[in-house]
Amino acid sequence: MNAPRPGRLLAMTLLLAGCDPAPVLPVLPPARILRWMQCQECRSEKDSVVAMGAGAVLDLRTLLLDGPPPVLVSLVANEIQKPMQAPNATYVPPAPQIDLLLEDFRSNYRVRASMALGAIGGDSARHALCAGKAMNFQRQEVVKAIASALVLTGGTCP
Amino acid sequence: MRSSARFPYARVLVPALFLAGCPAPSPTMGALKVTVVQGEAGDPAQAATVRLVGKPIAASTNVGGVADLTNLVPGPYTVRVGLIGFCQTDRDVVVTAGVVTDVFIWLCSDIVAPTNPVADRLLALLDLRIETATGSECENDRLVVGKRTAAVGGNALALAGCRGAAWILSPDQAPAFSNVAADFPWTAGAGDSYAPTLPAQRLRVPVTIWISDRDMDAAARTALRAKLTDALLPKANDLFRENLSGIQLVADEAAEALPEIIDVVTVVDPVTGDHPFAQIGSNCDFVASIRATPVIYKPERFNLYYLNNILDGSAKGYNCVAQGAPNIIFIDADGADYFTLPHELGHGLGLTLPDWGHSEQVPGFWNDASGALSIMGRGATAATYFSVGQVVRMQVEPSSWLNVSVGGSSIRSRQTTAPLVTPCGCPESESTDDCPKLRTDIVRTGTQVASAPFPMACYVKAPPCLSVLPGSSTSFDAKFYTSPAATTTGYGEASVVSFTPLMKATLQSESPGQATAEVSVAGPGTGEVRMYGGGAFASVVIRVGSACP
Repeated sequence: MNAPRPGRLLAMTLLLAGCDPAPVLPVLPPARILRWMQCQECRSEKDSVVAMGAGAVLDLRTLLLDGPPPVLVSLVANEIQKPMQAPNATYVPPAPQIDLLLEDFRSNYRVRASMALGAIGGDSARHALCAGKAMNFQRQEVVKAIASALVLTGGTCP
Repeated sequence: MRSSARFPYARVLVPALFLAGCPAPSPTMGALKVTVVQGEAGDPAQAATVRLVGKPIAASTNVGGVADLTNLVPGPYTVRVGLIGFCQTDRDVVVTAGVVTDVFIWLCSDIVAPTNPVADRLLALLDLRIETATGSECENDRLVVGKRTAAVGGNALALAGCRGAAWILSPDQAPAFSNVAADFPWTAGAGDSYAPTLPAQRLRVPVTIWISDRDMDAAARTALRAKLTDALLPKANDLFRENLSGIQLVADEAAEALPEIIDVVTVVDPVTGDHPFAQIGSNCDFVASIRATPVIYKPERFNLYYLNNILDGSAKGYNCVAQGAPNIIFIDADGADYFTLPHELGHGLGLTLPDWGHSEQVPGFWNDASGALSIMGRGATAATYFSVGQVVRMQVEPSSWLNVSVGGSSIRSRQTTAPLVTPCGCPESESTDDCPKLRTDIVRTGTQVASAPFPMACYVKAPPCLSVLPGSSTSFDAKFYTSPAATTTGYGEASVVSFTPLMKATLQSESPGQATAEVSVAGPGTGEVRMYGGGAFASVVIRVGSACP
C-alpha cells in the first residue's frame, strides 16, 4: 500500500487542524498512474497500475470523478492557449476549440481511470465506477468506458 | 571466399577459355577479362557494353557475360559497364603488362520498387568532419535510414574520406519533400546552427488526414474537422517550430495557405458508405490492405487516420513504423492530446530509437519548456539522432550545418564538397557481392552493422503483366530481395489495388525470399495486383481476356 504523499498529508493535516490549507500544494497521483494517464503508445503502463491493486483505487476514483489534477489542467491550458508564433501574426485557437481540447484531456483521464478500475476489480473499484456512472458524464467515450469497466468487475450499480 | 556454387558457370568458363587457346597478352601490353553478371543468382549478363572511361575502347559481353579488352597500355583505367535495365557501374582497375586482369561486376537492377516515400527509406550517409575549437576532426561515419542510425563505424566511406558531408542515396524515395534550395534560406548563413530564426519557409511535410466515420456521426466528424483546422494542426506546426525542427506541417497563416500540404478527407467505403473496416481496420495489422487501397491511402504523403477507440483505448495515437509503414498513423479522435499528432509524425520522420523515439533529447523535437508535455515523451537519457529535415537541408543547401547530438554533447558538421549522387538509386560499392541485397551492404571496411535497419524486403520482383481469361485464375511468383540479416516472416501479401468485385488475389504460399499468389477474375477488364513484402511491393497488371504487351 502506498504511503500518503507529503503534499496530501500536509493538506489533510491542515484541514483537520481547522486551518485554511491554502496555498494548496499541487497533489499529483503516483507516478505509475500518471504515466498510464499520459502515455501516447502504452505498453505496460496500465498493467503497472493494475499491479498496485486496491492501493490505486482511491487515486483512480479521484481521477474518474474529478478529472485530472488542476495543476495539470492549468499546464495544458497554458500550452494550448499560448499564442502561436506565426512569422507575421499570432494565432490563438478559438475558445470553443480550446475548451474542446481541454475536455478531451479530462475525458481521457476518466476513460483510462475507468479502464484501470475495471481491471483491478473488487468492491471498492466497482463503487468508484458506480459513482462515476451516477455523474452522467456528457462524453460518450467516458460513459462507454465506465460501462465496460463495470462489466469487468462483474457487478452492477445499486 | 566466394562459393563456386554461386558461380556455376565459372568452373566451366575458365577452363573453356584456357582450352580454346585464348591469346596471351604481349609482354609489354596488358588485358582485361571483364565478367558481368546480373540478377539474384548471378546469371551472365549478355550484350552488356564494357568500355574504358576516356578511351575509345569498348566491347560487348558474350553469352557467358564476358568481354575481353586486349592490347591495353599498362596503367589505371576505369571500366564502365552498361546494360539496359541495370545501373551503370564503374570499376577502377590497373592493367599490368603481360597479365590478363580479371574484373568481376555484378549489375544492379535499376528497378527500385516504390516504397513509402517520406522517411522510412530515406537512406543517408554521413561522413562527418566535426568542428572543434582548434579546427576540425574526423568523426565516425554513420549510415542512417530515416532517422535511425543503422551503423556507426570507422572510415566506412573510404572513397569519400572524411569530408564532412551528407548524402541522401535515395532521393527518389523522398519526392514529397521540397527539394528546392530556395526553400531553405535560413540554413545558408555561416555559423547557422540550424534554423535559429525560424522563418516561414520550412521543410514541407505533406499530410492527408482521414476522418473515419467509425463511431462518429456527421456532427462529430464536422466538429473534429474544425478542431483539426482551428487548433490541432496550427498547434502541431507551432510545436514543430518551437522545437526548431524546421518542419512545416501546414501553413498556419492565411496568407500562406498551402492546401496541397494538408488534405482532410472523410473515410468512407465508396460501395457501402461506411467505415472500410476491411481495408483500414483499426490498427497497424492492416498496413498492407491500406496501402493497396488508393481511395484511402496516398503513398507520397503521411496518412493520419482519425478514429476512436484505437487499440482498445491504450493509445492516443500510434505510428506503424514497426510494420514498415511510418507514413501510416492512427490517432484517437477524442482521446488524443494536442501534441499527439506531431508526436506520431515524429516517429514517422524517423524518431524510433531509443525507446521508440520517446526521448527528450532529440534535436528538433525537444520541448524543454514543459518536460511532462514533451512532444516525444520522456525516459531516454541520450540520443544520437537528428531530423530528416536536417539531412535534407544539408543535401540541398551545401552551406547548411548538421547538428548531431552524440551522447548528450552536440557536434556540428557541414557539407564541404559536392554531394554524391548514386545513379539508379543503387549503392556505390567496391564490393562485387553486395548486390542486390539490402543497401546496408554498402557499409564496408571498418563498420559493423548492428542490425539490419529494415528487416524486410528491399524490393519485390514479379511479372509486370499477366493475361487471365474471364472466369479463370492464374498464379504468379514474386521474389523478395532482402538483407541476409533479415528475419522477417510473412514475406508475401497479395492485394488487389482497387475496390472491385471482379478480381481477387490470394497468397498461396510464402517462404523466405519468395511467395506465390493466385489471381482470379470474374469478368472483363484490367486491374492491378500488388505483391507486398515488407516495405516494398511489385505491381502486376492483370489483363483480362487480352494479351500482355
